[in-house]
Amino acid sequence: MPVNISKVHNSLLKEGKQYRVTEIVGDQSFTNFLQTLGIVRGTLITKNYSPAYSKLINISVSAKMLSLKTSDFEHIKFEDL
Amino acid sequence: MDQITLVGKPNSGKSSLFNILTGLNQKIGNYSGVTVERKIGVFEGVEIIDLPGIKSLLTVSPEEQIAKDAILTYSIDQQPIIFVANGLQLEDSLILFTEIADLQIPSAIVINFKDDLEKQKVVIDLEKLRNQLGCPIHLMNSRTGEGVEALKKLVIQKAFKLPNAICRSQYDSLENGVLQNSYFDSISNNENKLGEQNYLRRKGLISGLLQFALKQDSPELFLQQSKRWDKFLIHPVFGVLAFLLTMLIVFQAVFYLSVFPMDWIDARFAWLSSQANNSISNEILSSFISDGILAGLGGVLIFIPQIAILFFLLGILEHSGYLARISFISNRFLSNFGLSGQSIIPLMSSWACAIPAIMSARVINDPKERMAVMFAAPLMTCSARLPVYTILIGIMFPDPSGGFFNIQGVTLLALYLLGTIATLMVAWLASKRSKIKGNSLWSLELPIYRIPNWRNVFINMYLKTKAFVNDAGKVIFVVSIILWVLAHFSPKGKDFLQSQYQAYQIENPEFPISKDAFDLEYSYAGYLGKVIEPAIKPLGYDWKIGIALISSFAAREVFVGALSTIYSVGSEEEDLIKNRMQKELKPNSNGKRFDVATCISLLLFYVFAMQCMSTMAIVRKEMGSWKYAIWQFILFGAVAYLVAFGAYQLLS
Repeated sequence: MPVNISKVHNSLLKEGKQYRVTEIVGDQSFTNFLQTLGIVRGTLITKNYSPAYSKLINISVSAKMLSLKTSDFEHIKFEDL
Repeated sequence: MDQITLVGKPNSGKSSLFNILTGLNQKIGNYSGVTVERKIGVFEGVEIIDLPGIKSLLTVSPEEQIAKDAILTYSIDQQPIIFVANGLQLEDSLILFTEIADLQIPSAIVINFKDDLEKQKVVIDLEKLRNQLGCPIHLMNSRTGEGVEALKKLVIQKAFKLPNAICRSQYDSLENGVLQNSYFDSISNNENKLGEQNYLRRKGLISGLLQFALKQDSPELFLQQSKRWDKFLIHPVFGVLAFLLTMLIVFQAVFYLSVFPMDWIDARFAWLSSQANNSISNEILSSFISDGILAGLGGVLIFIPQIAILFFLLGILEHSGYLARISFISNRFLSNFGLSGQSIIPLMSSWACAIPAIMSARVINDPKERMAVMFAAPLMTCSARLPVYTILIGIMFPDPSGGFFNIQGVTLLALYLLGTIATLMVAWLASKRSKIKGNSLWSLELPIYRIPNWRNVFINMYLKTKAFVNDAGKVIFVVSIILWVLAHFSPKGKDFLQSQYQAYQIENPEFPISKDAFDLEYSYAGYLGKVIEPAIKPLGYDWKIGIALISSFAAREVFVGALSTIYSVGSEEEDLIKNRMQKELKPNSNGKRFDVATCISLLLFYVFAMQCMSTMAIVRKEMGSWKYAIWQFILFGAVAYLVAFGAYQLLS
């Protein structure tokens, strides 16, 4: 069941759980930007500890830990595995 | 000379490998026409270049663009590369390699972090990888140097090979019956023609290859420990407290650990000066050596311990992985000033020097934020301010009690905080006023926590300190000698000076001064200082401080060296710089020249004033116009004057 982060706040994603990217909503520069990080449709990500004060979301992708801006993260849609 | 370039993603261990291959036999320059740092070293007669890290050839950040342009040039020149792959993120690294392989550059691959792979019980079948990728591959540990011998042999034998093209054929097309390949042009023009499909194809090929060549239990197991640490180190309360405590320890250590070596250097120069005075009979030559050359040299070398300690500690923060967490912690706070966590590294680099900080602002994707950081960064407390601060704080609080945590360190921290607040306010204003279009896309990679690579930390410390001594040292040394000439010679004759001195002694018996100090007032430097004295008197400065202020317009670190030279010329005894300044009295009174009000006024002046020609030159170069540099000079100078004026008038 896809979870639309843009509508429901990312607190729905659980820390330590893996999700699959189903859709990236944005222009070419945004999708290129995510592609350089290894995030495309089908990529598996794990949400890591992300305290809200920083306005950043921590994830693990392809064995690396990344922080993305919450506002950017909201343009990525996921499905629960 | 043949050249080989190290290419790889950020945090792949390229710089560690570079340091192993070249040791201290390296220099830092700039790429032609731009100011991105270019590290070149020599190994066995071959020039090794350490290219800035690059995430993908599709990249957009200005710094990565430099790396990409260089790689495209190597494709034309067939100049070999060593691709450094992070063994812990092998799939990710090799996807970038496939992009480079399609450019058909003679290559070799180094898979780094062998020790971590062994700890995680990861086994790599190098033979399978070699066969599939088509070029030599070596496993090594750039921290210990394990496996480097095979790589050295490869470099000496020039055993690089053209790798197998991976997706290059996707860019083939028939034009007028001739097969054309558009991959180079596509990359060169930043066109992502095949988009996600191209990436997925590369990823599919590499992950398929690694299924056979890599045996591991869980690819993300090695992240677990860092994730646990992050729960504490980026925690909203504990994380912020840990950050503040770390900063406090860094600044205290800069003071506390440098006391002994600084005093030692100062005492050695005082001793050398007295030896020169005693053993050289020619008065002018003896004064030139002791008050000109030795005072100037001492003014540079005395600050080596503090600068080395600062770079050493910043190196530990960087190489342990903690610096990236500081970016995370600071993101929300910086967003209040129109910045992001991405700005924290250029801003913290400004603690070392504004020049590399302004260069490193190229990592900031958003042009508006980049401009704001470049404009405000010179207000951060650079290492050139450190000599001025430490000597004035030392004069204000000569005998602090409290051991490691004392009033000197707290004052230094307060000055750093003041510089930081000023930087943030100016960045906020610059960001608000700017008409530059913003681009807010950015991400932050959090490397795993590691024990720092001590070789890297020490080499970095050595090179940065050497750069301070070479760059700032030359300026300070030349200015010191010019000042000695100006302070030693007078437009008036000896007889005039003698008669004036005798008249002074008769008229002011209650304020005796030495003949040397009296002569200084009638020297060229004295006349020059007197010209500007009316403008700086409301700030609590006399003409001697005025000379040092003027001298330090080129570079603020000249201030202490200039005062050292002036007071050496005006003093008959050899003493430590600080002691000479402490003993200096105001004319016609027994009040100390460097009282608390004057010291604070000077400290505040140096917090704000834009006294660095090199920084102005870099700002002009990076921003493409003198407009910003001139604004910085006028705006920061006006604020410095007003704040110093206010402080002196309130405290005196």
